[in-house]
Amino acid sequence: MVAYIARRLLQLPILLLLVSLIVFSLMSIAPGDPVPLMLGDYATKESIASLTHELGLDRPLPVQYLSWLGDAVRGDLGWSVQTRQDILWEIRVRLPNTLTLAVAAMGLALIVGIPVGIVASVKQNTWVDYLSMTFALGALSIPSFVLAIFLIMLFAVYLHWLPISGSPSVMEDPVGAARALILPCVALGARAAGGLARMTRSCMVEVLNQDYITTARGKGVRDFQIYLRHALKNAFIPVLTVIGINFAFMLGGSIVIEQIFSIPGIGGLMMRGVLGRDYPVIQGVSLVVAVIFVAVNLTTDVLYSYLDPRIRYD
Amino acid sequence: MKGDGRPSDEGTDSGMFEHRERSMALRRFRRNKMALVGVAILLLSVISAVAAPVLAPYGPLEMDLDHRISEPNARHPLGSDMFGRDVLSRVLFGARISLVVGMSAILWSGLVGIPAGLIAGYFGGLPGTVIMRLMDALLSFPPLLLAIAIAGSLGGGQASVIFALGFIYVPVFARLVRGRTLSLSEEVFVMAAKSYGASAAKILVRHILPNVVGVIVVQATIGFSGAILSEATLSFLGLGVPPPLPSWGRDLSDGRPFIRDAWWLIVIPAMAIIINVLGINFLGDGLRDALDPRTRRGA
Repeated sequence: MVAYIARRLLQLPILLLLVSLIVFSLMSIAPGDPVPLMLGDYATKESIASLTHELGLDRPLPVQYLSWLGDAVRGDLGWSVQTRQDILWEIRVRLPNTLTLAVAAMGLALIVGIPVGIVASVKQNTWVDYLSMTFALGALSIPSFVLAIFLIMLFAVYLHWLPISGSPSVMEDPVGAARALILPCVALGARAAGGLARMTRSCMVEVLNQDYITTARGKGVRDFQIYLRHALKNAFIPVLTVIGINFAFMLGGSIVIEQIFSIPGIGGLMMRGVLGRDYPVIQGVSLVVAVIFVAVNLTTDVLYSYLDPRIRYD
Repeated sequence: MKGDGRPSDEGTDSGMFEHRERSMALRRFRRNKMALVGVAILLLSVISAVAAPVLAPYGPLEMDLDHRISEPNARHPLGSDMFGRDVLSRVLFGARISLVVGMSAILWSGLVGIPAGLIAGYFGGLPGTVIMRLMDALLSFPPLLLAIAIAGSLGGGQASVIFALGFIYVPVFARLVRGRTLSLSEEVFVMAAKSYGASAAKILVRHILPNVVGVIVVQATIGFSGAILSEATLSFLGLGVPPPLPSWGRDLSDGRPFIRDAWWLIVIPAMAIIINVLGINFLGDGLRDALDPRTRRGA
C-alpha cells in the first residue's frame, strides 16, 4: 500500500503538469486572435495592442506557458479582463458557496442513498426493493438541470414552499439560507443518491450471502446488528469510491445548478468567463477545479487501498 | 462484421463457436424487455429526426404571431412558444441536433480513443505511457467543466460542442480499449499469430480489435446518451447551437421565464431529453448484458 501511495504521489507532478498544459492551451484553441474576442465590439487597435501586451500574448508560446505556470504555482492566476479583479481572489470569495452546495448535496445523497440501499438489500426481491431501485434509476437518469427546473415548478411556482433562487447570507438570514439551499441540493444530489442506493444494495447483497453472515445468524446475532455491524462495514468499502467520484463530479454539475438558482459560486464565475470570452477566468477556474478534482480522487483511491488491503492497483 | 477475432481462418470449430456466441448474445438481448423499449425509443428519435419535415405540422422557425404562448390545442398539439412557434415541430426538429451532435462526438472520440488504446495496450513502453498519462490528465477535469471550457473557448456553436464533448470520451475509449488489449495480448491466439510472424498492425486489426468491438459498442451507446445529455446541458447554458435553431436544451432554457404560465414550454423539451437519455441507457444496459456479460453493472 505504501508503494502504491508513493507511486501515485510521484505521478502527481506529471499529471498536474499535463493538466496545466491542457488548461493553458484553452486560449490557443480560440479561433483567431483571442484579444479582440475578449474586448468585444468596441475594441480599438490601441486597446487590442495594449491588452495583448498586458497579457503577454506578444511573446512566444513556450515563454507564455512557462510564465503563466510560474505565476499559477505562486498563486497568481492573473486578473479578469472583464472586471479587472484578481482571479484567485474571485475564486476564493466564491468557492465556499460551491463547496457548501456540493457538501450539502453529498450529505443529502448519503442520508438518502445508503439507507435506501440497505433497506432494498434486506428486503431483496420484494416490492420495497423494486420500488426503491426504480426510484434510484430514475434519479440517475434525470438530468440535474431538468430536475432543478421541475423542482422549481413544483415547490416554488405552484406550492410556494421554497424560494425560486438566490442565496441569502448565512450570517444575516440563516433560515433563509438553508431554505434556499434545499432545491439546489436535491437537484445536484439526486444523481449521487441514486448511484449510492444502487451501489449499496448490490454490495450488501453480495456480502449478505457470505459465510460469516450465516455464522453470525447461527450464533443468534440480531438482524439489526448483522446488517449494520457485520455487513455494512464490508459493503461500505466499494461504496466509498462512489462517494468520491460523485463528489468530484458535483464540482462540474454545480455549474448548471448555480446558474439556475443564481448561486454566486465558481460555476457562475466559469459561465461569466465563457460567455464573456474572458480567457484568464476560464483558465483559472478550470485549473483550480481540476486540482480539487485530482485531490479528491487521490484521497478516495488512497482511502480505498487502506480500507481494503486486497486491492492492488496497476 | 466478419469474424469476432478468434482466428476464423483456422478451421470450422472456432467459426461455429463464434456463431453460437453471437446468436446467444442476440437471444440475451431479445429477452431484455427494457433494451427493446430502448431500441423503440431510439428508433422513434431517428424517425422524427429524419422525417421531421414530413411529420412536423409547421417549420421549426415558422412564427404564428397571432397565437403566441398558446396552450396545447388543435392548432398547436403541444402548444406554441413566445414567438408563436409550434412546440411539437421544434421538438421533432430538435431530435436532429441532439442525435447529430451526440453521434458525431462519439464517432470522433472513438476514432481517436480506440487507436490510442490499442497502441498503448499492445506496445506499452514510452508511447503507451505518454498516451495514458495524457488520458489521465483529460480525466482530471469534471467532464462537464471540461466540455464547457473547451466549447466556450472555441466560441460555442454546434461544431465546438461536438469537438468539446468528444474530449470527454476520448480517454474513456482509450482506457477501456487499452485494458482489453493488455489482457488479449496474453491470449494464445495472439501469441500464435505473433509466432507466425504476423505484423503488429495485422494482429491489432484482425485479432484484437474484433474482440474489443463488443465493449466498444456498449461504451459507445452509453457515451451516446451521455453526449445527448451534455449537448442539452451546454445548449441550456447558451453554448450550443445559436438561437433560432431548435434544440431541446435551449428551448427549455428559453421557456424558463414563462415557468409560471406556460408549463408546456418546459415540460415538453424536458421530456424529450429525459426519454431519449433513458431509452439509450436502457439500450446500453441491454447491450452490455448481451455482449459483455462478465462486466458487473456498476452504480
